Amino acid sequence: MEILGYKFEEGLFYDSDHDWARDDGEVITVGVTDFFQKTAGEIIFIEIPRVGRVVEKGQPYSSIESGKWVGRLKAPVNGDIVAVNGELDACPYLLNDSPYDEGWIIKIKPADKGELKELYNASDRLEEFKTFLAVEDEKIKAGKKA
Amino acid sequence: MMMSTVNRLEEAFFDYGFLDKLLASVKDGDKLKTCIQCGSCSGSCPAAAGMSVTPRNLWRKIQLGMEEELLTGQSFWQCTSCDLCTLRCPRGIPLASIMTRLREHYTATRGPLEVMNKLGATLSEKKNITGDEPGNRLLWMDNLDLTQGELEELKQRQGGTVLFTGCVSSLFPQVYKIPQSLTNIMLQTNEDFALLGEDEWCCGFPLLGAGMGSDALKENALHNVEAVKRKGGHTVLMTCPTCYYIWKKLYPQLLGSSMDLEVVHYSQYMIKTLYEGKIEFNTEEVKVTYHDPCDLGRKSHVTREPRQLLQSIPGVVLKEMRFHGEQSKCCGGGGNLEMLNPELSLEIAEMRLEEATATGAQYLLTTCQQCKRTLMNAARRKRSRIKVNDLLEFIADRMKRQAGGVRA
Repeated sequence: MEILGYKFEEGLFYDSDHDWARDDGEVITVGVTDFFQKTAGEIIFIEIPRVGRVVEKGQPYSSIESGKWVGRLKAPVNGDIVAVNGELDACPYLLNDSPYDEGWIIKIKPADKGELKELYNASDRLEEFKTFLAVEDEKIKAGKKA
Repeated sequence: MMMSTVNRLEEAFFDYGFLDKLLASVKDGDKLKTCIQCGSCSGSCPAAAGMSVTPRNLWRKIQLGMEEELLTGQSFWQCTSCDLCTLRCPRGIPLASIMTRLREHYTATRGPLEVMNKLGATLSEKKNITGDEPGNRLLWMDNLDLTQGELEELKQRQGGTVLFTGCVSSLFPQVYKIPQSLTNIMLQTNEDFALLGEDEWCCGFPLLGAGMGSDALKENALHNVEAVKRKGGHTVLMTCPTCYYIWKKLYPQLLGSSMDLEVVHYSQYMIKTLYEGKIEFNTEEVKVTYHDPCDLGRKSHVTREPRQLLQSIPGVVLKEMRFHGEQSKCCGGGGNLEMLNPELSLEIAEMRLEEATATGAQYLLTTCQQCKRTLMNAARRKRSRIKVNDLLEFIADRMKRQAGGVRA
């Protein structure tokens, strides 16, 4: 699925910080969207969080640096980090090359999986998501958001 | 007879009215009248290739009172504040200070550059260089291998030695390992220390580099000194050479004797720890080279201690670069250049990287977060295999892990 030239996957959930979350049964896999990676530019470093860390919805769990920008990645749900993508340490560019697959970042054991329903998704909140993205895209084009 | 001829020539060609006005506040600025146009400054300047007017030509324009041409050319914004020109000037002219003064004069007469204006606004609002919320200054701690309780204890701790982390180490993830390594070493060697955390403000250097003058730093200086004292500190421990230089040289000028704090860079502080045998190391042989940060080496004369630290680590073979110690070349990361002209900054870093690679070293070590960032970026672009580390990371990685207690 493509919106405003950015790729999105239909089965995923999206938050307003441009993270995606995938329901993988016991765990939720988390990464950043194509919109995020295109906006950030070439990602040169990501701080891989510790397994076992408790993450809070909307709070930073990692920091990331591109050639032109420093930013914080925020957790889409509450829970514990149970796995991290160690490949990103040596190959942070996977976030650019394969944001929805090889560039996954963490797996969270959620405190309440129901929190996923609060996020945007393609089945019942697509129009709302498109409106949100249009506003975000406008901000980028106007240079109001890095 | 000879002298009076020279004087008459000076009168005929030079107009010192502008020079006198411009440099009245610069210590020894008057010496610029003695510039012999030898070009040592331009030959030493890492950024000269990116300047429309070379440093030597800038000094002549000041002597001739060519204010308009000087300000329109804007070459002084490319200066990395590395001070090598000052060191090498045979007349002893404080050239780097004159570059800073030109920035101030430009800002005062033409208004701030847009990027510098934004930087000033960010610093004023958020008290850091990235615009992050103050609480984000502690994000680097999240990956320490400590329990939540241990982390909280560390954050709340009062102490005589207080770590001033600096904006770059606190907020740029590529260099989080620097404060993380320092914390691990301090904990493992049972050194008493405290963290300023979100009470820390930028040291203020970026304001100076932005042409806003040293008075603009006073609020930051006052706040930071008080914050350290609130923590019970008598010593401020630095990982950033620029913060060190500003705290050591500029804060006392701004605050006078009321400051009353000892300021040390970690390379000075750790000599004691290592010599007391508190750290046990792995001993495999490794070849390293050491890059002196300009603010620590040339400008603060701390060149011996980092080398002593290195030589006290078993298995380390130090291969010096052609230019080292106080003659060290710049990494390109100073003087706000990375914000103003990132491409030139990177080109300068690539030249320094080339020198390091020529030593055959496996590690390019430094004692500065900004040098590490710029040199890492150069290594990435050049696909170099040399590992760019801060000395703290290198020490922490070679430490033997102790069983029990706090994990390193």
